[in-house]
Amino acid sequence: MTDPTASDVPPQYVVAHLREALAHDERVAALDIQVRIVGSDLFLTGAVSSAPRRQTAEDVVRAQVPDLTIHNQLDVLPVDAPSGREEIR
Amino acid sequence: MIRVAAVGDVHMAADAHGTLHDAFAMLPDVADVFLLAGDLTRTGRESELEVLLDELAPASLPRFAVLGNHDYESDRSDMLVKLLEDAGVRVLEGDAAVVQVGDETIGIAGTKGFGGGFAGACGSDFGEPEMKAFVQHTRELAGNLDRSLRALDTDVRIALTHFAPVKDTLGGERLEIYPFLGSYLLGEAIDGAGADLAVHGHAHNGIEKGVTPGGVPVRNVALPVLKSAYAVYCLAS
Repeated sequence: MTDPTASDVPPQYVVAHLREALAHDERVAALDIQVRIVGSDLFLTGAVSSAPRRQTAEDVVRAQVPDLTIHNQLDVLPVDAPSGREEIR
Repeated sequence: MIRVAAVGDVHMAADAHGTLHDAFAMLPDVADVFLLAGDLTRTGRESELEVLLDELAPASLPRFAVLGNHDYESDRSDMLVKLLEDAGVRVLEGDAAVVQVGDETIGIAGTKGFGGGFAGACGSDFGEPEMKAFVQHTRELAGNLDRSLRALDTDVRIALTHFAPVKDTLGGERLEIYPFLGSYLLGEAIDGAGADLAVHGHAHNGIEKGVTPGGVPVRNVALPVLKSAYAVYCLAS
């Protein structure tokens, strides 16, 4: 198992470990958060169900890679009733 | 005209109280049945499901659900099914239910489904036992879906799954993960048995609308796709 905080670990492996961390941290438990590392910048994209969960996802990642600059671009999903309906047939 | 409301992947958690309550309270006015397409919880715990059941309490219409992969995470799926059934939500897994709406009948056949991929780029039950088990699980659930759909003699028939039966609705998902998002075996079962609508979730980055190779409309109702608490589809028998 690679240490994601080690400076010589290729970013592809760091991304894989961070995605595992986001899946297994029960406060997040998300399989669909995208993680991208460009140099010393880390980008989180996708959508989560609430603002606290958005922050928690960032916290989980920061705990693993404290030296990277995190850009939390996660959207918070709207949960209003739909405005219309579809006539399928 | 039958009105079907559906959503999947609500991923309820203990901190989600109140998020869906108001939208769900409107359901009896806008729909005749409500379908939940799996991933009701974040990690498959009763405490998470209880939040969802609180949100659903004012939705006094016939409600049906399949479980999703997240609902199995804590190995408590039997308890989740019991909680849902006790709350009046019928859980479908390889079986079907019939609802009378006015003069019309709706049949809903459901299964979680599983992965494996789509024709031309899919797993085969060949080689290691683990690979055989993976594909055979999908094959078994697809077979159950086929049988339960065929047993329905209703004005409208709906297939409800968590995993996707077609790749049409996977849209913005990465190609590499298609085999983990669904299986052509589910689509083949739906086309073979016939249905008026197929509803699924699971593919958060997919798109809403698709069709099976046999022409059955498919709707991906994952909440991140709908960007609303549910969608409503109207079907004339």
